[in-house]
Amino acid sequence: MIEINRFVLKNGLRVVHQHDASVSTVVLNTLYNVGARDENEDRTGFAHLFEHLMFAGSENVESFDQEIEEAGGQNNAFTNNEYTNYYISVPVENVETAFWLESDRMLALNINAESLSVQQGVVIEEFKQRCFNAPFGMLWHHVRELLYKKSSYRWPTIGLSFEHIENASLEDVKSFYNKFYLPQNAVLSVVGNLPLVECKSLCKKWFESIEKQGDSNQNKYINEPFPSEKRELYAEDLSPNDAVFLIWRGPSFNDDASLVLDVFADMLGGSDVSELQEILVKKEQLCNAAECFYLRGLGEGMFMLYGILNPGVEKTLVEKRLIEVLNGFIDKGLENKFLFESTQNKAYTGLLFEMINPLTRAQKLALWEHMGDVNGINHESEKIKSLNLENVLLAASQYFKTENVSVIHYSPKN
Amino acid sequence: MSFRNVRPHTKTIESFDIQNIKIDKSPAGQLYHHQFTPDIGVAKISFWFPCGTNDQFRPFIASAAFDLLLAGSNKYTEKQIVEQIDYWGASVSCEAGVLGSTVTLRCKKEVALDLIQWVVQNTSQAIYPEDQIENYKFVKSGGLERRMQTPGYWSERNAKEKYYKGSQLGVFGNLQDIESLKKEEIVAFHMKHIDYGKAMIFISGDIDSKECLSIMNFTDTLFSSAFSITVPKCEKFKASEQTSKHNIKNSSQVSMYLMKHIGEINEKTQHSLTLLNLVLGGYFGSRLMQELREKQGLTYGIGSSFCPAFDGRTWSISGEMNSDNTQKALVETMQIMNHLKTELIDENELEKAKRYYSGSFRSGFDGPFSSALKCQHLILRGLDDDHFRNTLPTIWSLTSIDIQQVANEYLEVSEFEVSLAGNI
Repeated sequence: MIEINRFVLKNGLRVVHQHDASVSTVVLNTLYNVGARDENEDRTGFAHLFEHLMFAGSENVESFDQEIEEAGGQNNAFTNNEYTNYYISVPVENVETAFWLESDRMLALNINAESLSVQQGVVIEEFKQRCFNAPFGMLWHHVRELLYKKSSYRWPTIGLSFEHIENASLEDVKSFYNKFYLPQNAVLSVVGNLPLVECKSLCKKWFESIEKQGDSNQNKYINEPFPSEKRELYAEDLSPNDAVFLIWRGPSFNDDASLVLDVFADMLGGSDVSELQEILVKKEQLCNAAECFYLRGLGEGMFMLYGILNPGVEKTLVEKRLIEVLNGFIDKGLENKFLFESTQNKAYTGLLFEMINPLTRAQKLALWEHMGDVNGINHESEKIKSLNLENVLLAASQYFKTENVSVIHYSPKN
Repeated sequence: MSFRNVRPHTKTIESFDIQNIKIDKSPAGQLYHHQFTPDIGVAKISFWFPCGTNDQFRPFIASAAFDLLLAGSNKYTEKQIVEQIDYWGASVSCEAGVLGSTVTLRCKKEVALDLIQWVVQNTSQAIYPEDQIENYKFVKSGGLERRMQTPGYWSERNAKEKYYKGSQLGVFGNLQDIESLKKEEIVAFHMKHIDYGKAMIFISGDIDSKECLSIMNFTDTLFSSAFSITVPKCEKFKASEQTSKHNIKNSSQVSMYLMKHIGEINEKTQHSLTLLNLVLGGYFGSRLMQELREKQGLTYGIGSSFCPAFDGRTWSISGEMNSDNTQKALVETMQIMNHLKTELIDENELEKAKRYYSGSFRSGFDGPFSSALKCQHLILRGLDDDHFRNTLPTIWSLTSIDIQQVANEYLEVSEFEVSLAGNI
């Protein structure tokens, strides 16, 4: 159990704090409730482009990174479909610099034509590097295209195409900032060697005076039903081998079934001697990689089960065997008891290790607060211990049905 | 004037209360390091073997010997071994490096001793079953084929193969090398090199001194001779005069890679070079990052870094950019390198790099698992256990002239192997 302090500033910024006197640093983690799902379909990749612009300086700060580095600290950020997360880690002596910088870019970012043009160039190169020059680089484009027809989950964080980034105007970008980068639409977590009294005083000094008009993001999206039919897509991409990806949509993080399905995925494919590995890679030698995972998204989740094929193996055979292994595993029922307990034990140990790192703790605290209950972080291990195998297998059988699977047949591009 | 116009005062990290990194000897004579952090509930135990790819006679033998350590013993199958580890909620990773290799265990504190005994007994009796080796070849080949499709792989490989010709540091291996792996070669490597009786042990996390003693009592039963690692004498390498070019037609970018070897150096030179590397491309405020990315938007990522001593101590500069911008980026990179030789670094720029370096150095001591790597550094370089006490004073004593001197000694463009790969 960790002791968490929580308070809300007058401008609506929620702050969670945890004092850890064992380290010499303080982490400031700021989560904004905006991600790729908040973008317009003609302007995709914006949330991510914006993440880059947040380092280009603000009203009172010329170079964000250089100020942090001069204070002996480090920082970075990431964007996903559902939120954008910025973090700074600084020596405790220089913690005020982190407050200054993070609050200044919340108050007034310096968005100009020059910084936009430079970051457009950087993001386009990132797009090419990730999507065109890496094996299976376009996978997430194909996955989302197949799973969604209307929802704003139908494009990946990097955007549908880099032309959307190229075409972004200064006005577009400014309006995005004014709409989403509000104190009432953010969570700040502060973890490290900073007592609560000092944390409150610094938050009050640097953040409380930021007043911005607008509402927090209500996260209203097109509620697209789960596919009721089998969907298929044939894709050619950079890859040395054929591959088959089976995907199902699933429940959101706040739904108890999300944790249940996460544990199921770990049982089926989370070990060197998992059923997937043992059958498809070792015994039948159909694949050189066979894995699965459950992505616990805030809005909804996704289960992916896949195999990368050995030369000469037919994709239809691997698709068939993936389904058979999945169903066979569910049908084994209580035979999986030992494996289930092992998975619970691994998840529990994993949580203990996660909580050691102040940065991970700060990110998890911000996320739990964003989801409505910061104390959820202290109940994760109980939840894992309280699961039972019957419920895990039942949930898997309800969500992962053959008749509504989405399949991507991947072939190497000539 | 708003209070926001005034940058908060920042302090420099010039000293801190640093504990000696203590290397102990067990009753039998085994070297170990213990770092105790109460109440976290978990432990990390690493066995460091004085062997690696530098000891193999052809590619992939060392990595196969370590990757397949849990693939079956004379008593248990892989499934039985791994299922027991999973049941304890633990994880075990085995990794071959250049000079040293590790077997690392992560677990709840209650199961630490049982886990150690289980892993040591089974991995020291590893039998490398034929069917597991055959599967391993498929998996390893698949991974290598995927890496071979990226420009970054080829630019690094071509540079290192040319520059380190004749040395293990330049050996990458091909798919045929994986295909032709033989059980007897892997077993022979294991027999000769993977000996727990010669390993050094790092025990960290929620393991107190009594529990640590129990662990050492067990490992002492395996003791054969004290851990000793030989760092090969620095060889002389020479860059070729021609830039390597590897064309990948479908690629939309070009990967640029420049590298050279840094031999044995003293402490002052080490810290001077680290500061020089930071200014060149070692952090966001570096010249390469600022000029090529933040001012011109030519690349998503460009930077320079040192590979640690136990992995060969290569100094490299690398980045990926649009094909049209390759020549421009390469020329500007070389100009930045030359400029560091001919012009003194501005005091402000050096101060920034020192502040960053000292902040990172101190935070590197945070956390329950922080000192094992530092211990390895001491051993490989033959340094005293109070060595790190001198680091911050040394960093802060360095001047622009010191940095220019190491630039002139080590940053000569013609000494760097240059390689391009992608859509050239």
